Parts: sequence; C-alpha cells; structure tokens
Amino acid sequence: MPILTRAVGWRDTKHVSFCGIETRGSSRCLLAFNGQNPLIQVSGRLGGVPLIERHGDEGSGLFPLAESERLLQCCCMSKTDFDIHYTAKLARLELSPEEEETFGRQIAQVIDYVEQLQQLDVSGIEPTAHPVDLSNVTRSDITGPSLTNEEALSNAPAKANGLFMVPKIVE
Amino acid sequence: METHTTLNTLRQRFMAGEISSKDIVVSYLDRIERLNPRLNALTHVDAEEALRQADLADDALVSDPESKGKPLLGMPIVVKDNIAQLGQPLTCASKMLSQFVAPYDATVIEKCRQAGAVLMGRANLDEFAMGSSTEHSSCGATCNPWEEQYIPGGSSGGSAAAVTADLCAAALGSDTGGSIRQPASFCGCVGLKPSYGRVSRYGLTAFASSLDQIGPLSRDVRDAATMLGVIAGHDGLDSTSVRKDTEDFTSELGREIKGLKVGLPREYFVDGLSPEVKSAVTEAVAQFESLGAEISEVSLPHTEYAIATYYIICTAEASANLARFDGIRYGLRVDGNDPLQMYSKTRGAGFGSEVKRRVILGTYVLSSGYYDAYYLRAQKVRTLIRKDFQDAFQKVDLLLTPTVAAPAFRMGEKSKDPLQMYLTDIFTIASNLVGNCGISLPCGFSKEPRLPIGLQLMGRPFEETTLLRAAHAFEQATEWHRMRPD
Repeated sequence: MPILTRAVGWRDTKHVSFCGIETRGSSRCLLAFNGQNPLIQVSGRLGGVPLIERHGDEGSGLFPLAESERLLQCCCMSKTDFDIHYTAKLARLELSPEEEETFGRQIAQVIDYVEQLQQLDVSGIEPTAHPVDLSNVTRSDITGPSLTNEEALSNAPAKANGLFMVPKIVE
Repeated sequence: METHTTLNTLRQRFMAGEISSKDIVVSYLDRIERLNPRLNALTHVDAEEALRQADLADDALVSDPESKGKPLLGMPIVVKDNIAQLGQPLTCASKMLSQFVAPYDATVIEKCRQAGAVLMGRANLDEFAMGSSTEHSSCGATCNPWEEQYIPGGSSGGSAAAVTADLCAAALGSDTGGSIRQPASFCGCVGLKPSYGRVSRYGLTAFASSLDQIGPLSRDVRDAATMLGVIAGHDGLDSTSVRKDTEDFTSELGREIKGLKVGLPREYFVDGLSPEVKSAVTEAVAQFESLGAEISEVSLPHTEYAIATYYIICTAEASANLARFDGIRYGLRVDGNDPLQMYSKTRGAGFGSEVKRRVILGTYVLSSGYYDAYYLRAQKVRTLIRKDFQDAFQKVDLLLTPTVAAPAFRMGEKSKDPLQMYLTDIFTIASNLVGNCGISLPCGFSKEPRLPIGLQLMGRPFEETTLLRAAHAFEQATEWHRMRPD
C-alpha cells in the first residue's frame, strides 16, 4: 500500500472519494479515487517535484473500494478543514447544493496545492504587500469636480429622490 | 486597405494623406462585421461613435497643425471590457454588470483620446479578468483566430484575438498574472505588461490591486512602445502610480543589443515544457546570441512556490475588491427578505463559477484563524520571490523564458479543472508578484495544429526601454511577427 503523505477526502451519498499524494523516494504521484472507478491522474509538478504519470489500474495506485473507509479515515486526519458552506456565507454568496459540491471539491484541491508553502522557512522574512515602496499617498485637500448626483445614480438598480433605494433595514 | 498593417505604418500613411481615418475605420468595421460573429473577440462595437471620432481626426489633420504630433491620431483601438470608457458598456464579461454604462473615462482612455485614438469597441475577457482562456465570459467564449476550436488565452483573450485577426490597429488589456502576455503568446501578437506603477489603473475594474497593470497588445514591438508612451505616466487618481518622467519608449528601438546580458532562469526550462516550445525558445536564445547578447544561466530558486503564492494573494485581494458588488449602488440586484439575503442572492446570481471559486478561496485564506497560515505566509514568500529576481537582475539585464509551457489548448479542455488552468500561469505570474516589466512576442509555431508560440522577456522595474529594445532586435531579425492567420 502506498504511503499517502497528504490527502483530502470527501463523501457524498453514493461514494467515498479522496485524492492523495503518494511519496516514493524522491518522486510523488497525485492520486484520485472516486469510490467506483479508480483514477490515477497527474498534476504537473507539486512542491517542486515532478509528478509521475500513471494510468488505469496498474500498480499500487489502485485502491479497492473495501479499503476506502480506512483510507478516508487516514485522509481525514490531514484533510483540510475547509468548509464551503461556512466560507460562502462569510463571502455573502449564495450557492446551490450542486455548486457547493463541485466548488467544494475544486477549492479543496487548490488548498491542498497551496499547502506547499508550509514547507518553506519564512521566519524573519518581512511580508510584501506591494511591489513598489510607496506609502500613505495622499492628495491635496482641495475640492474639485466629481460625478454629479445624476451620474452617480445612473447605474443604480433602484433609486428615488436622488438617493439609492435599499431594502428596509430596521423595523 | 491592406490588412494586418502595423499601427505605426498605418499612422504614417494617414499622416501622409494616403488614407483617411474614416477609410481606415470603415475597413476595420467591415472586418469586424465579417469576422467577429465567429471569433467573438469584441463584446460591443459602437460604429457610429467610431466614425464620428474618425471624422474628427480627419478634420484635425487638416485644420490643427499640432495634431501631427498626436501618436494615435485616427487610429482604431479596442479596449478590454474591464476599463471604463464614458458612455460605453462596462460589463467585465459578468452578468453582474450586463447593464452597466461607465459614467467616466479611465485615465488610460483619457490619454488615448488626447492622443487622437478612435475608440472602436470593447474586447471580451474572462469575467472580471479571472481566467486564462476567455471561456469564463458572460458574453460567450472567444476563439483563437488561428484555430477556432482552441482558446485564445486569457484573460485579455478578446484583445489578443482582435489584434491577431486584424479587427483593430492595437488594443488595451490588463495583466494580473499574465493576462496580457499569455493571450499574446497563444494568438501570436505582442503583449506588454508594464512595470507595476507605470500606468494608472484609475477606471480599471480592480481584481487584485497589488498585481493589476494595464498594457497594450499590438502587432509589433514598435506599436507596443508607441502605445505605452501614450498610456504611461503618474496619475494622482491612482495612489500606486509612480512619479516617473515620461519617456519616449521608442527611443532605443533599432539600437543593437551587443553585450546585453540575457539570463535563462534554470527553473523555467524543466520537464513539462512542450518539446515544440522548448525548441522554439532554444532557437530564440541562439538568435539573441547571434545578435551579440551575452547568454547565461541564472537561478530563481523560489519559482516552484510562485503559483501557490499568487493564487493566495490574488484571490484574497479579489474577495475584498469584489465585495463592492452588493446590489446597492450599481449592477445586478436580486431582492431578498433582508439586506443580507439580498447580498447573497445578488452575488450568487451575478457572479460566474470562476469568480465564485476565487471569492470563496480568497475569503477562506483571509478568514480568522487562516490569515497567518495562508495570506501572511504568501506575502512573505512573495518577498523571497522578489529577492530571487533582484539577485538575478544584479547579474543580467533581462530574463528570457517561454511565455507559456505549451501552445493554446482546446476549448473545454481545462475549464472543468481549475487547478490545471492555474498551473498554465507558471511563467507569467512572477513578474506581477515582483512588479517588473515583461513582454511576450511570437517566436515560432507548433506543427499540428499550427498555433503560435510566445517568447517572454522580463526586465528590471521601469526599464521598459531596454526590454523593448531587445524585443525589437529579436523581432526584426525574425519573421514570426509577419505570420497571419488567414
């Protein structure tokens, strides 16, 4: 059985699925498994190490369905705790159940990919917010022409009396 | 009118009185009418307004002696549909802004107007400039003019396809992680990302504010230099705009590049590079050598971390920038029982799938408990990547790399797999993280199908003049920029 160094798992009503990274010496392989059809996929490079391309059900990349519960448990230990429902709520973004399922899986893959930054030692390194060294750029405090009330409201979805109309906020 | 004429040649002929701006514009409108329905490069064309501007240019040439000095007088330009142009739609290829009409001009538009340009239409893009294929557009995908089943690159895919198919003399795009250079590479035109701070972003719909930069797409390097000369310069309306004297970016075009030090970053020439790209870029290196450039290998050791760093930073900034789309002041509104529900429903209905993914990922990496692990860490790795480039630019004047690891891919090939799509940006994102200038120019073709291959040159921040000089020397020594899709 391959050693999964990092993995994410998820489950829906029919399937147990995961993707993980198998380490073999200095090379790594990204594995994906959807509970029914074992899939082994490449993903270019990961963490700077070229991934080995492997296909179909050959070799030790194949995980029988019976193994999936155990693998999922192992995955869950290192699984990112990304919660799509909660994060979408923070972002004020309504998602359909299908979107939650698809985006949840896709974003979890991206999060797994960006995890590689954890390998770097960044102690003592200053963060870069901006490529040029400018700070506190201000303009002179003088009035000048700007959008008229009419122009500012020209794209408003609802307006009245020269104001934006919004839903009732207080009872 | 002869097609695929460069902006500068067209301008010479116009100034010499051989052709009127009206004739030029009519000829382009005719091409647009024939080709755009297939290519979908332009989302909106205002023929009436274009003809009016052309008439003004024709009059000015006769009546105003000062107009001779205007670098774009009477020249038809198209603008990526995320840059505000007074009275024109500004859709950002999003359902969120399908009805939005810009109430003011972006600074670059104002500068184009002052230079006499005819602003002819709006170019397609990935929604809010998020994407690498111009497939994520509420206006439908744009086709690659060389092969219609293939993507033109993105997010400035409409601008690149419009230049390549000769629907305009030149175009404006925006580049956050390669969005000018990558489509230029896939379509076979020139795409220039100026140094961060060189061009004002006032009026550009913000995607990732520490990375965004406006730049030109054009048929050759001289046209790119001319366009940059028009749009560059300090602007009090963009606090990231840098105080630099206006330069004539064409001044060193034609000067030899003997002794110019060109570095090949070792980490960019690795497995995974398509053999055709590798051989085209290797030949380009030989060309530079024969032009007298001194080639050496350099190292950018943190290259492998660039994509992860970029996708944390750009999504974080995008999630903040796109918070403005709340259904209150402009754009789509979907009613709800209370304001919160209205925000969620509006954003759920207005944003497309790629924008939703990025807003959610960006919200996640900034959220309480994860900020240090993702966003702050990415900003620190950004410092390391920046230092890599500073070290390399101590040794060499320019860096030479492929623009993309492979030629354009088929439509639909990567749209279901965001991570695969993100990985195509590997060679272009670093210059946005670092803020240096970069250019993509044609350097070859794949065999089957025949699709352009791009060469990327990167220069020190604010050294566009050297960058353009080297690009021009290579271009003039080769025939790649003369290849046309029809």
